Amino acid sequence: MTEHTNGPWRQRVGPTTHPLIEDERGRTIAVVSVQHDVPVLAASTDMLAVLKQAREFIDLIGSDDDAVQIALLADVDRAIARATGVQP
Amino acid sequence: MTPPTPGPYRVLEIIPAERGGLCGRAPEGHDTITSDSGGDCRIEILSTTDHMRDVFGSGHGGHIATVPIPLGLAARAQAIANARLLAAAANLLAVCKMQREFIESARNMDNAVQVAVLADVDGAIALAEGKTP
Repeated sequence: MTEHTNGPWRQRVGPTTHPLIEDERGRTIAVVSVQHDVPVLAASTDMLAVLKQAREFIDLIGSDDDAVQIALLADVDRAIARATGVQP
Repeated sequence: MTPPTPGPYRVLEIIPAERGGLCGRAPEGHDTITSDSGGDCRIEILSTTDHMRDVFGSGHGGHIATVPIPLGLAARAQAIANARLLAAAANLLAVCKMQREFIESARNMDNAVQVAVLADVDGAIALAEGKTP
């Protein structure tokens, strides 16, 4: 499956009609309707990377409550699958 | 700071009628709809499950962003991957916060690793919320 454009993605600096999210090479990823949605959208690649890293860590550590750990890992896996189209 | 539009978000591909667009489901799993008003192929990120109301602007739900689809199959595939990731943004943020809570409360671990992972999670959350970590 084709992967998303490499991060980081950032908002274009400068006045535009609608905020733009661009990759490092200045290519437009998306045109956003309202400013308050820009940070969460632009941080998508960062969040996905951190989510995968933290998943590995959580998988390694013991927990006082395994049910909580298992449920969290399931939520993480669903989020990664939804974001990438691929099961981790 | 105004919080982002609540999720879930979803992906809707708009295909102009002159390019043979059809309403239905793309092989990648997202919905598609034909546009009679022309324009380029594009993907809309929407905040509601009712795509017809979104497209015709009843104000039920909302438009989050537009992902342009460049010409070429590889470019289209990457635009769809980008749209899928964007549509998951609100969910990613929520799960990052859940991870943070779990890692912070966990015991019996290498503290240096815990601190480093927490710092990375905090950085991503701060970025997503438009704050300085």
